[in-house]
Amino acid sequence: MLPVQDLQQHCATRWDGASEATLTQSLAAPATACIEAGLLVDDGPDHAGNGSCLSLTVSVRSIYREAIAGAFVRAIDDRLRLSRELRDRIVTALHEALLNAVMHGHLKLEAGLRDTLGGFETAHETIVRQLASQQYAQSRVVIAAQWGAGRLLIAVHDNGVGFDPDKNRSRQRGCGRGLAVVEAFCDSVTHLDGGRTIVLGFEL
Amino acid sequence: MKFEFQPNDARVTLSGEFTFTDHVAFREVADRLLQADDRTIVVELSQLRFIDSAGLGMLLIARDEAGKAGRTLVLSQPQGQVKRMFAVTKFDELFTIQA
Amino acid sequence: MNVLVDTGKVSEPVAADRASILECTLLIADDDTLCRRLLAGILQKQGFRKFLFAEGGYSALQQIEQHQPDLVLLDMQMPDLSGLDVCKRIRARAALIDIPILMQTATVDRKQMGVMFAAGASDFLSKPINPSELIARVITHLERRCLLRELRDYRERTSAELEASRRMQLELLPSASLQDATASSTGLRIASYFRPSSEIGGDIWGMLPINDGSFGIFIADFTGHGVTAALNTFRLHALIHEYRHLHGDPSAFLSALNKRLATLLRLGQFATFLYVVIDHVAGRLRIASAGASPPMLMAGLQGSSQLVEASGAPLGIAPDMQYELHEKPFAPGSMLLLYSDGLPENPDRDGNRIGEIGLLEAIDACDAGLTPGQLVERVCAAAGIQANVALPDDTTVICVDRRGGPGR
Repeated sequence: MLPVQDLQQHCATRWDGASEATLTQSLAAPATACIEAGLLVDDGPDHAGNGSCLSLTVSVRSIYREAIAGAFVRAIDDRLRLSRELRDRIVTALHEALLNAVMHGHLKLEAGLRDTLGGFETAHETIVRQLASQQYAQSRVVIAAQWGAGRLLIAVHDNGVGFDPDKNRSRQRGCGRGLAVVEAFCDSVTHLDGGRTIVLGFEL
Repeated sequence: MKFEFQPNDARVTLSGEFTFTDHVAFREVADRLLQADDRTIVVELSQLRFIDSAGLGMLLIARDEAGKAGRTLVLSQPQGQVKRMFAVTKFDELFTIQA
Repeated sequence: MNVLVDTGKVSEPVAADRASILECTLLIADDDTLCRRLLAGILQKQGFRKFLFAEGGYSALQQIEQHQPDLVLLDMQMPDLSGLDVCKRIRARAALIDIPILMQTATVDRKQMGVMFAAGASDFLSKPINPSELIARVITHLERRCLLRELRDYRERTSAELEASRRMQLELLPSASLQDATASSTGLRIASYFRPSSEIGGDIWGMLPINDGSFGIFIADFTGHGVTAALNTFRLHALIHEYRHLHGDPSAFLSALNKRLATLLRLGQFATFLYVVIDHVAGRLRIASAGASPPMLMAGLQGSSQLVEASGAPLGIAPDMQYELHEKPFAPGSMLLLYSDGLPENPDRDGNRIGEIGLLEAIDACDAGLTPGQLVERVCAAAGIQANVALPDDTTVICVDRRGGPGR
């Protein structure tokens, strides 16, 4: 069953953005909220106030650079003891959701760009160049996990332009696959905020 | 992601994690595989821990290119998360998958 | 430090290693339970094992008083006593003056930082806590503290060792009782003054028995200061004993010592050496000198003192050296003053040096009725030597007196 958490709620940490290793340090218990250094806090995540939560606010640059999903799910596993199979499912779904948030929430990639290997390379270069620009300095994604009553909910929220999930579903290649994977690996998927928030649900 | 070719270049072992950042490595893999003489080229996946949708996409592209060159691409021994990804995306309908 | 490098084998303090840092005790003071747990968890993963916790300012002070942690992590905002006040009170205790205090604060403006540092904070950490920053700062401050502590221990140890060496060196010198015994058995009066420049020095002198009619006095001055010079005095002492069969032959004695020291001493090291054989029965001095300051001889109560000019290369420079033998009468009524160059070269309060001529004048100015001890005191005073002022060079003065009756 779920471990008993402290009734005190908020325990904030900062991540220096340097590596996956320092991210793991910043996500270690009893932290409940971690924010990447350099990001201004204006719309911080709400806290349930019961300690059964963990949120991470990272820049889109970091998502593209580091294995964020892995570190985040390891931190959850540390608190919840997930099965190997469940952990894999959550990591896969979260990884895809994060990529999605970056590609469609923030960047505008050409259609069909990732239909060839050459296209992949171009896409990668475009992405890295765009993310390095000042325009994206404050672009961030918030991953907020909450658990209780046999369920784990992970919300991925970005402050970008949003997208229409239905439009993407019809595509066979490129981005459409990512969403299909998310839906297949989660027990429930909910889209909110005009596509800016996706909530992944898992039965524990 | 790391890769290791068998001497005749028709068989490659992938290990580690295959994600959107691995396109450079995969380009090298695909190129070398297509240079082999054999009709069947095998991608050995037992050492691969993780694949994301971009990795799936790259495999599909490789399959296309192999097909154009008259080759058959076989995916061998996917495990754990990789196996689950193939199942969810119905890769068994698109590739020959060896257990 | 450069003195110690000379000796080669002395171990120097190494940078504080990680193992000794992880042995340190850390005090975490914060009223928020989760914060305390967070900090401890982060540091525990790095290998720290010893923690103290405090929920408030007073509790923090109490813990510090009782357990003396090696580092304090202090939250700025605490309900009973503010972090700033805790900091000030810690610094007020002399024993805790250099315990590292890392303040945690949410605000990072310049003025606030200034206030914290003025209160005695060693460093500050921003809140929300950045684990890698916390780890880096804690380790840096502990490293510095461990290093300082090691340096302090090292200095104390070295000081103690130097003190022990100095005592050993003093034991090599002729004791007061030996001087008295020699004086009474020979009918002479002997007085001496010996003072190293720092804790330990390169000067050494001694009395060597030869037979019933004569004995020898040597005075040696090694180049350099500190441990190297001192070690050489021990070496010389051993060699002098080895060549005791030559104690009656000053020229041969010096040649032999020189040959040995030439191989033993490193380039640039040498010793000036003066050897006088005092034949009180025959009333004669036989002198050989290896670059030493010329002894001063007063022959008879009427005369003035003269320098005994004798030259020779200092010991230890080139192996095959000859040393000329000089003979001088030493009849009753004579007085001999031997000294190292620290005496004529000593700068007085105004920076003036008395020099050899000045010393001769000072001796002659002394009343004939003075005891040798009093004469030595007058001469030292004339050279500007003061009891409470450190000497720039080792100084040895020996007076052998045939003018008065036995005793000092």
